[in-house]
Amino acid sequence: MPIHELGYRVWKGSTRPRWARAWSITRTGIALARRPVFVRRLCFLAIVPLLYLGWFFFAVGVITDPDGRIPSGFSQAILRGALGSEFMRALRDDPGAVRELIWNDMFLGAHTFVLPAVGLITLAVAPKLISNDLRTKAFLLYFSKPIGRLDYLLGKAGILAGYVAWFTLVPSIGAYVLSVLFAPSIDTLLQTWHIVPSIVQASLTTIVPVTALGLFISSTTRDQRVATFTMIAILVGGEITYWILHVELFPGAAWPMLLSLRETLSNAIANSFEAPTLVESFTESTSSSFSSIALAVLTVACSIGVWRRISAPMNS
Amino acid sequence: MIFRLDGVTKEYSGFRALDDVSVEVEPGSIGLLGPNGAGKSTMIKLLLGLVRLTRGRAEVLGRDVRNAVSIREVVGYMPEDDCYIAGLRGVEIVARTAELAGIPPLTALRRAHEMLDYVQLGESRYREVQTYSTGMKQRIRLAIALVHSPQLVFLDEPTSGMDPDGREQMLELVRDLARNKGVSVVISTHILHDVEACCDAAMILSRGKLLRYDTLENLRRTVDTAVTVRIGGGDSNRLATALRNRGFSAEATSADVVRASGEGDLSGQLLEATLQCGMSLHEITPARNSLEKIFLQSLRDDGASHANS
Repeated sequence: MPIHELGYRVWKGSTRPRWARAWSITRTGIALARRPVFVRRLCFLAIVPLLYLGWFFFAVGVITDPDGRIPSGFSQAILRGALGSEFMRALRDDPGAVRELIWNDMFLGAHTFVLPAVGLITLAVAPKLISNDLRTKAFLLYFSKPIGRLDYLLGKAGILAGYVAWFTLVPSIGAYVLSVLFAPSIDTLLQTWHIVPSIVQASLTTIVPVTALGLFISSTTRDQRVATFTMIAILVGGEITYWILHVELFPGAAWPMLLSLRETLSNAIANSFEAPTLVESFTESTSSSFSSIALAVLTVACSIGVWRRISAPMNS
Repeated sequence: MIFRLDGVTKEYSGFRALDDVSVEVEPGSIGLLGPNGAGKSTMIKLLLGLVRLTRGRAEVLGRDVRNAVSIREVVGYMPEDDCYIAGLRGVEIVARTAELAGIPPLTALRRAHEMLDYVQLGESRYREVQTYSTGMKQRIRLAIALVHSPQLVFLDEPTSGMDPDGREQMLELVRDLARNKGVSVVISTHILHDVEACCDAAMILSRGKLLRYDTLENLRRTVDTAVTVRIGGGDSNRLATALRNRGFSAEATSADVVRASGEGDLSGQLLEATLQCGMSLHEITPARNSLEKIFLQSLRDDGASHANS
């Protein structure tokens, strides 16, 4: 017997609240999911928007500073290339008025352009979340402890939501905070504070349906490869079908958008940034509401599905 | 009382897994016996609050089973199935399940180490669980069941698939828990030897009905009334014939030993028959029935009553 062995001792301490048990599932899941190198690299790349957003906001901050000067040289060339000569003139005439428009569009763009990366991280993390528990019968271990199905579901949802938030919410909030910190004056914060709720709303618009869909697909099978292929079929197959229908067969019709999760999310995200936008292609107001409703329906259906699936093993 | 069932019925889409079961179970170590499909697993799941009652009422340690989370605060469960959280090492899986029971992370980790030492897995604590042997997996499941200090623990086939040595170690742990640590243990098993080795009482289930629940001592007395008689001064075959003539079943098992059984005043008739044959009665020993015999007799009785109905 090892000298440190204490034998069986009764533990009589105070237990932690229920939310902490769900958090334990999330914490374990996040640690397990980041073991593959691919996931760690992808997560590192997720902070790239911080770099370009940071530079852009800094440049715009300098331009729109009433006491500042229009930058010359390389920065001006890039800004002109990005925004066009007409916009640069507007910027010279009334710099403060256009700051809000610029920030709005940049965050909207960041949320939209990051969607393919969200798809990749979802493919890397989501398939094994519940399917592995079904395969290894880990649900017997979870549910032999004092947690309910909602705790389990929230714990599992937290894993995927955490990763998606790392790609959507974290870089945007990070860029916003950095931009405000490095802004030439406090006016920047006063003019742009309302963008923070928009960023949160846009991130939730991505996080919630993607998490619900990921968990549902993972819960439909005991084999994570099947779940992965199903997700690829939905994400990639849906995208290809959307392009064929949208571009070739039904140009202008809104409904093919439902086949593409990326396009549906893009349109719904545009709803979050309500201010007028500089780039028309970001928003199509009619399809934004349509997309939001479609995502809400998808979320509810997937949540009901996953709830039923995690109840099923107990009843057999 | 560790649990009480009152008219409990559980149906799965028409199939009755438990049929009007009523019982009050006292603390200690209890064997839950029954053939496949008898309703043992359903009873355990029901007591853990994992499945809902169709009818009746059930309590575990004074808590209603409808309050499942509250029950699982004080009850541990060691599943029969090979189950683990993929990718976690031994100590991690025990610590994480302790956290699920509400134990703070640092305490959970310390407790996980203690439990792994207790179940003699200390040297394999940093190996991934999927690389464990069958016996090691059984022991880590026991550690998981015990990590939050339950007052009652359900062990589903705890020695299934283990080699004789590992099986004896597991039974020793179960005996220690029940007799020295004050933890009540319910063992669901097909292996009757395990129940005989470490249980005080047994419940026998068949086709969802509770056939018997009593202490092993009482069960051994009830099934068979046979006695073994050692005689002197005569032929045991003569005594066996004399007893058969009196309506008992009897057979000579050796030159001076007769085994007799039957309804009625067996002892009195035995004395008379011995005197009639001119023999001396040296010893009468009540037969000690094995649990296997009790189990099979119970199933036969149930089969007969089922056929009659």
